[in-house]
Amino acid sequence: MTEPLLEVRDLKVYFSVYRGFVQRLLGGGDAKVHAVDGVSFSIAQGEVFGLVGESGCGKTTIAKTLVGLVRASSGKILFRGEDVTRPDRKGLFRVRERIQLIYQDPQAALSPAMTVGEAVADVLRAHGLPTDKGDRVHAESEAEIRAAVYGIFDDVGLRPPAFYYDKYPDELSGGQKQRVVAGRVLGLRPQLIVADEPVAMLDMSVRARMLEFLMELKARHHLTYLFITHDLATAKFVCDRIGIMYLGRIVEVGPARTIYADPKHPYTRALLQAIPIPDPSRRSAKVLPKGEVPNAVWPPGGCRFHPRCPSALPTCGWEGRDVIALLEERWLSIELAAREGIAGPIEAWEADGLIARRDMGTTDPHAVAALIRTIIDQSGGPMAQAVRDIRVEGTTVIVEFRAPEPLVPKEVEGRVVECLLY
Amino acid sequence: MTAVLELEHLSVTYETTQGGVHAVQDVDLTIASGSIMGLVGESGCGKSTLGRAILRLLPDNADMQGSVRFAGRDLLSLSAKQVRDLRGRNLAMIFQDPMTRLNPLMRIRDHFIETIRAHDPEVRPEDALERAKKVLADVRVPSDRLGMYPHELSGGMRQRIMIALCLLFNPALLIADEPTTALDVILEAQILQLLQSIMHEYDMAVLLITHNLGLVAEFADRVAVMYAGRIAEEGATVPLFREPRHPYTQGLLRSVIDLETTKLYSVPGEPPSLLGDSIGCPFFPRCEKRMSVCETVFPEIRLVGEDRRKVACHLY
Repeated sequence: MTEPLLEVRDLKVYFSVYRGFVQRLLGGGDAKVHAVDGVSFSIAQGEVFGLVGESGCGKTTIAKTLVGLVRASSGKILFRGEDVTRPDRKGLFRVRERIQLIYQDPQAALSPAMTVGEAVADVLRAHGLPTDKGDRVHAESEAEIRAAVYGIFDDVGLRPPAFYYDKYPDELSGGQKQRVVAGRVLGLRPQLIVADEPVAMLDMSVRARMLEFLMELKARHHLTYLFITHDLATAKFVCDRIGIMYLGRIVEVGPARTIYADPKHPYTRALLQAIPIPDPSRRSAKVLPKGEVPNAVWPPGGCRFHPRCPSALPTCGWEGRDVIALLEERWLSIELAAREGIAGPIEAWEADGLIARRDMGTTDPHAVAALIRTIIDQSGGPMAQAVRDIRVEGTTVIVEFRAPEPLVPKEVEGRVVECLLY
Repeated sequence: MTAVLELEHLSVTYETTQGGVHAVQDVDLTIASGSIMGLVGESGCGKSTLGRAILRLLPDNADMQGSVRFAGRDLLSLSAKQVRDLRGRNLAMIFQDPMTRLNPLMRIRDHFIETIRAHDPEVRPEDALERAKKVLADVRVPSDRLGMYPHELSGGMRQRIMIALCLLFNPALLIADEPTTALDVILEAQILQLLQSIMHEYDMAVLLITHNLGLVAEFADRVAVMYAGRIAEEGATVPLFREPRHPYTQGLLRSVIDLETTKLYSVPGEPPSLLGDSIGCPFFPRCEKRMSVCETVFPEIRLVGEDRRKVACHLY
């Protein structure tokens, strides 16, 4: 295989969470959002690589890191083998001529006070006009720039260009605005375009037209795309390979065809299953993952998907807070909450890594320990087998789990999966 | 089957400096009690205006004509105070972005107390909280969330809380305007499953306003397709999806991108401007089956086929 156009190696992007003076005095260490937490992938020349996941999984952070809008905490980004992880000012200018971003909302990407022609012209003034030899020269005259913008508008289907040049974004439809944004990006002759949800804001009846337009541009200009979306159906249509992201990690990556034909990771399966089918004769009961995507400041231990996973094993990373979540869910039933009142309230429980504990004060801790054991055995599922010990120390009830099995990406039937099932 | 809501010849026109914008035109729609009516259409088709018109939540420059009959009364003839009393009690509404509907400076508990006391000023805060806990359990939200502020909650939790606020007075109709558009697919499915189980429990009808045909196919009993302020087609979900009649419905269904899509399709052209008066079928310029009559004569609704579906098209 030839050298990939883009290679991302073990990329980590953490954001610090602001903590007040008192909170810092009280300790607990620095809180960080683990937006991207060890992601590796590569994109070959001419390929469409899709990053698919729900909000907060880190896909947009990756896009921003690639064009230098966000700084990587660690890891490497190589463009044609050249390290572009932390470019200086001049280097950044160069990176952005080669990697360009198309945002989700073209309305927000265009200044409302600037005609769309000027929006494109501005970029050409700053970066120069691309020549056929692949370098750039500064324009001799404004007329030359205007002519170049006309050429670009013609290329992206805004015809006649002179008609569109003096329009303001508000006078154009969503699809037309997205074409202006595409034109502005193409004016730099980039090699890689990062398209972050490029059709999410468009109406269904015109979405297909935009996708076809993007694919047409790709063929005409020999582009490579990183296509970022939450929509697995759209990704299936445009991507050659996809990576499924969950909470800062890629959980499954491989050829799109392979993954759609037979998804392996339980999260990929859940995502596929959740897509509504526009055929009422095929309604079926869906088994959905429990709860929501957890907070990325304290991602779950072991496999990050384990608390929600319908196929979780005892070795997937069960820990103290999972017990508390189980009790909380159980006590949504007012009747159960009353019957098991001696173990509550939920706020009195405390999680610390593999341990969950509750100081019972004057209540009999042994009775509570026995109750917790029954609850976990009855409704804890795979969590029950992960419990190492439920014990009483003084007045405190302690639930302790075994350490999880280490999680490493594995090659499974033509794709790479990060899951202990394989 | 009894109707919980009947719209007759409902029209909404926004007066603007450039003239009247006919956002909703001559809409007839009946929602059976305890059922889900899906109202689908693209941005600007008037579906949100229609939802708000029912609750009379439109801005001052909106002019409403026709009738909105709810529980035997015409809402358009009621005073502002009478409508306010119905709102939140018998008729409730949830919106796309729950963050903007909850007050960021108020704890969740205070949202509940305020809502309850707006209708029953005599209720003591402690009793109001007890009622809050009951509805929160129904939407599967732990009651400790009552002490939190909206920003401390996830998007899914916030939307559940919005639903719980609506349930307080056991409304006969819930208007859900793109309730899951801000949420991810898994959460979307969770929230709609929840809505479905709750509407049975509370014997509540739902007007589900959405652009997502997949959601309507999975959850709605009947579907109304809106285009340019008018109902293009309306009927029971299963036959409508099996055999869409209106060329716009056909185009819209073909343009859905799902996992089985093998060929992309888009409806040609763009939706028309709703400014000023128009003649003929609003879909005429984009229609692949247009005839000369379509340009000049507006197609009245007619009943088509065995399922007596309402279709506004000259083809039938």
